[in-house]
Amino acid sequence: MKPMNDKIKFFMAILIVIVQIGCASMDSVSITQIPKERNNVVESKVNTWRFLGIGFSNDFVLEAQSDLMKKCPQGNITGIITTYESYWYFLLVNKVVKAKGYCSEGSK
Amino acid sequence: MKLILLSALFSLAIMGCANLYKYQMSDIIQSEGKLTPIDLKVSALGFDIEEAASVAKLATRTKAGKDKINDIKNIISLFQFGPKTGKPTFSDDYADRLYSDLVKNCPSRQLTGIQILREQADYPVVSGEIVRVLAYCIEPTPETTTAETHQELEEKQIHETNE
Repeated sequence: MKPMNDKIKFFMAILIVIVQIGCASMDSVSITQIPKERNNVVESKVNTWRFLGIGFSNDFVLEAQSDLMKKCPQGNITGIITTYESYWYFLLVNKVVKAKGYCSEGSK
Repeated sequence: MKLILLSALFSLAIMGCANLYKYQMSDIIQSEGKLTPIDLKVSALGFDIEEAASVAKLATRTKAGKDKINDIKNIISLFQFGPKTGKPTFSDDYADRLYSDLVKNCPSRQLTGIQILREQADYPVVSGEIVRVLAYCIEPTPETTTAETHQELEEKQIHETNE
């Protein structure tokens, strides 16, 4: 009986780990006014890994906007959809910010 | 050895953790002039009932004392329910002045690329509940100002012709 109980415990532990893997959540989402001209799409994605969800700075999200601005130099970026997501992998969590918008030339 | 471990744990605890709850980004207009960054932050202290009660229980020796602290904690918890981000604060209007602060920091009053972060700096028992706003203030260049003046002049001429 004893080896059987150990086996059951082992498989339960594996099951718990598998259930924990790939737990995804959407923490926030926002969208701005969608433009008429939608030919030029620009996207950016930034992420950070945290052990047990513990982090000491949130400045990683600021790169999302600067990335977008680099992809559309001197242009206007509108219709931006921004998502902030978390993906749990057992003890690690991947915090991801995605931003996608439409780049257009300025009015001048 | 115990002292070293305790000191290490204490240092880790007081360093604090940062949590990000929500993030939003507005449109980015880069063609109207020079962009000057603005970074503003407002915060309020958040108060965690569970942690405060745990700390208070440590200081209490008797079971009766611990039970009383539990009762107080449960009563206060009844007033704090519903969806929320971060630990409860005593007032939630601490972010109201952000709008006027943003406008004050931008002489042209033209803002773009506004990013809003709702975050938390976590310390034992108390937390900093923070709303951080980053934006760019557009300083119109002489070309854009001249272009606008030309456009205004043309519209004025058309208007006078129609009259």
